Amino acid sequence: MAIISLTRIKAFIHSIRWKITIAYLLIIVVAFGAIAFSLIQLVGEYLFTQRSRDDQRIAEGLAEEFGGYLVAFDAQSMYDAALETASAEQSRVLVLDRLCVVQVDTASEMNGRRFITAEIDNVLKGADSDYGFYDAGDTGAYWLRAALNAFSGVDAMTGVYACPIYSQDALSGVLVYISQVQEIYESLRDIQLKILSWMALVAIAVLLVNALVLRTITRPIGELNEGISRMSRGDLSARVVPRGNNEFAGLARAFNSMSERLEQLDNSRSQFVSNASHELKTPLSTIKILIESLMYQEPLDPGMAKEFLTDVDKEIDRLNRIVSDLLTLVNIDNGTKLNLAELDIGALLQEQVKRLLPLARENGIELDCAAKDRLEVTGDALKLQQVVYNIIDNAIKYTPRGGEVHCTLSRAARKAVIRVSDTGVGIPQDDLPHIFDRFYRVDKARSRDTGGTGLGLSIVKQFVVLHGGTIEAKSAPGKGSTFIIELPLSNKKQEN
Amino acid sequence: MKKSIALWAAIISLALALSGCVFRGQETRTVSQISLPESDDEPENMILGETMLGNLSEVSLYYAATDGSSFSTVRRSLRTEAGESVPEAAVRALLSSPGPTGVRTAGDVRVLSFEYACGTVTVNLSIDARAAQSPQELLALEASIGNTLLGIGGVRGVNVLIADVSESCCQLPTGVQTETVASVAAAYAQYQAERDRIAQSGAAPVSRNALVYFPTDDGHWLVPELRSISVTSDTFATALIDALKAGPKDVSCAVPSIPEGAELLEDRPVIETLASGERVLSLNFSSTLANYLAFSGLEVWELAGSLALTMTSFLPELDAVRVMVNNDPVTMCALGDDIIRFEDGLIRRRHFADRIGSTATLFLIDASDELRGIERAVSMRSALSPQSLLTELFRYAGAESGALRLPISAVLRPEDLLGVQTVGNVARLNLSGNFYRLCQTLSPRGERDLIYAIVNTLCSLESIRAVRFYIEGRAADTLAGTIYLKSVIMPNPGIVAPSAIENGD
Repeated sequence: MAIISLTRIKAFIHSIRWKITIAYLLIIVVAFGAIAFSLIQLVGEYLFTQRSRDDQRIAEGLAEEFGGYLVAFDAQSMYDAALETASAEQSRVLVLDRLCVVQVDTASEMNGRRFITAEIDNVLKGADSDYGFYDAGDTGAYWLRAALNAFSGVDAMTGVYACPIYSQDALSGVLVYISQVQEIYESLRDIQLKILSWMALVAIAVLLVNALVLRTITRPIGELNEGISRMSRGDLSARVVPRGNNEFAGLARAFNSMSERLEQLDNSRSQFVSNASHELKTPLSTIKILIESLMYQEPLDPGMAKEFLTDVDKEIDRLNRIVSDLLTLVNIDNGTKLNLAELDIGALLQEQVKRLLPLARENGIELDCAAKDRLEVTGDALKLQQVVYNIIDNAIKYTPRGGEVHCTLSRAARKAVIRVSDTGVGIPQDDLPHIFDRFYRVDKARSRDTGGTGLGLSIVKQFVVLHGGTIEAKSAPGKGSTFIIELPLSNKKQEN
Repeated sequence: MKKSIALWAAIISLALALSGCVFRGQETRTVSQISLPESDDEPENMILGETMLGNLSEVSLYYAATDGSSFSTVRRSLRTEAGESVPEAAVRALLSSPGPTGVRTAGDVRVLSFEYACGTVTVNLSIDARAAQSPQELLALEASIGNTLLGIGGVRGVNVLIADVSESCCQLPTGVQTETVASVAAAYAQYQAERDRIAQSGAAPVSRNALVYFPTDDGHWLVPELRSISVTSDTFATALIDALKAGPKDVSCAVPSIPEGAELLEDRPVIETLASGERVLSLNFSSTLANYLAFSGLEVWELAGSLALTMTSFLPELDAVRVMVNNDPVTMCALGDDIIRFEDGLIRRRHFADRIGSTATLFLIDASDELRGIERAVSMRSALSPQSLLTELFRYAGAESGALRLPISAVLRPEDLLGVQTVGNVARLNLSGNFYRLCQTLSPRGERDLIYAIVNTLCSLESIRAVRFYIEGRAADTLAGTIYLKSVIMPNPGIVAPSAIENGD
């Protein structure tokens, strides 16, 4: 459990979501930090400078007044004056002699004690005055200098202003003016806290927005990733739901299209293998039965043997055709090269009609061809011959005796259009979309009887597509079928 | 991974540090890192007893111009002797020095006695003051003395007697001078105007300042209190009786000598002139006063002294007072172990001259551990003597009945006070090793309270502003580690409990 959690944590830490979140947080903290630093510095400097100036004015006034009092040891006068000032200003005044002994303390706490701070020391060494800040804390001791921008830990921020007391131009003591600046410090801390609060609020808001945005980004990625993973595991039915109309939705649709295509290909492949196996197995089974019949025939009837061997020969021919067609398809799939040349498609059509005319007559079918225009296409002559031959041959095979097969060639825009119409049995609407699939048969028994392999139309379509053309079939059961082949005309100027 | 985490941590720390959102730490600089200045002041000789060194006081001496229109002032530095107050030295200097040209001189006038008590001064001049001097000249002499003494800190009123008798001016009592007189001529003219006004029937009374003497609660002294009274031509004595009946107002350790609220006088006070030429005031009190004396525990000498001193200090040319209680003349009284007999029932000022006391403020710790000032009646000499004052402080703190104390557990003895030397306005106090030893266990608060009990007490004297402590003649750092004793210590008025100075008992 712990390992799983650790793994998840590690995965989360390495995720884009985590890194983007941290980056946002860092930007916020640095931005607010810079603002807080500048603001606190400016405001703090102003407030503390103002306070120190006020303290200086008061302290120096008292020091001047106390010059005569101190040398005359008039503690009462100093105390009264200091107390009046301290009460008015809510401050504290100390008068120290040259030995740093507190002689007057408005708080009456340090009298008789020695008191020294860096400021007093500086004044005793000749400085005009000095000012410092201390954290007096609970004890009221002034030995701990406080950092003005300390965020916490300062209980009683206190300003200590020291200035000399002169009597007849001689240093006779030091006046220490202590004022409470905790309220200034608290103000600064309030500003800091407000900035921090705002920073926290902005951070939370940004994180929420960030989470939503990242969710819209990473969720499709995750779903895509999941789909790819399923596909990699062999599950080609994996699909993702395209959300919205953004790049990720496009990617999802592309993925779905790809996976659909792959699934179709996989299904076709499976179907193809199954069909091929079946098609190959049928003649082989027939051959095996015929040969076994011959083997176990006692005594062997020569006539029957000949007949059986003739059937075996036919089955072998069939096998041969199937294998040839399969090889043709494999070549097409592997990217067979076309021997392109300028062809008179009308002549090619008439030639194939001419080749099949004996078969049509044999089957009692009227076959004609109408190719008035001279139209040239760029193509492989052998393959286009095979296309036209197969279509007309199919029409003859599936047209009953007394029927008709009409072949026409016409021009439609930049295309040569070959139409092969028959008055045959027609193709059911359900089968029509699949007639170009490999090994697909509308009437399987009849097809075999006619010697078909189930690959002819598939090869036809592949050849047409290889030439940049299209083929479609229109049919209704009992009303015949029409195959329409459109081939792009060559760029050479066509004659009317 | 670790590097990445460290990098993030560093960046965030930097951002927080920039924003001031981290405790940056504080710059600490302890006192031990700063060297304190040290004192090497040691007394040359062991301080023993009570001595004074170089006690010079700046005083302005007032000399009246011969025409009486103004005064000339001479600034003098006066050296005071042990037991001598600055006002006394000032009067001595004023009478003995000729002054600038064009001023009146005192001639052979001497000071017979000098009272400096409770902020008031009574100067008793020799009879020479009256001889061959006109009323204006006499007024000028009194104003010179008054102006000079009122310029000295702590003096609120000056009364001048000549041979124990209060003088008059234009038949009116001069009373106690509380303000500086700018012109003798103007003052004399005012006396004349007041005399004319007061002679008329139903005229408004005139205001005078008088010294009213009250016995003290310890039964040892009579202390003066300055009082403003209103008098007409025939109510001088009754106004003073009324002031006595009102009781003490400023001096907390004083008690009334006669009760308030009852009509005590059987007859109207009468001043008669004896065959000897002496003027005597007769006061005939009812039996109520006798009852009061028995009830209050007041002794006869306190009543007699209070009346005699009060009346002779104010009533013009009064030599004595004759007191009768329930028609029984007071002819004698017991004063301690002594018996004072009043010849012919005449109670004179001199009978109680050595019973005039003053007050001193002692600072001690009360039950709530607050430093509190109490007013105690002491002799006038003790009120000027640091050593006597401290002895009184130690004695009072050691008294078992006292509610106030010093923060020291053992009783301090007078022997623990080796000596006091006054240098300028600093008292150099030499205490014994025993005192130092007893203080070693004091808490910081106790040490502070003890030091300031002594310092505040000594600095309640006009002549002392600060105290320097020595132990067996040597400077000590501290008594118990808190108060630095190698510098002078000024009084600390802030730690005294805010209530008014209390009566010691």
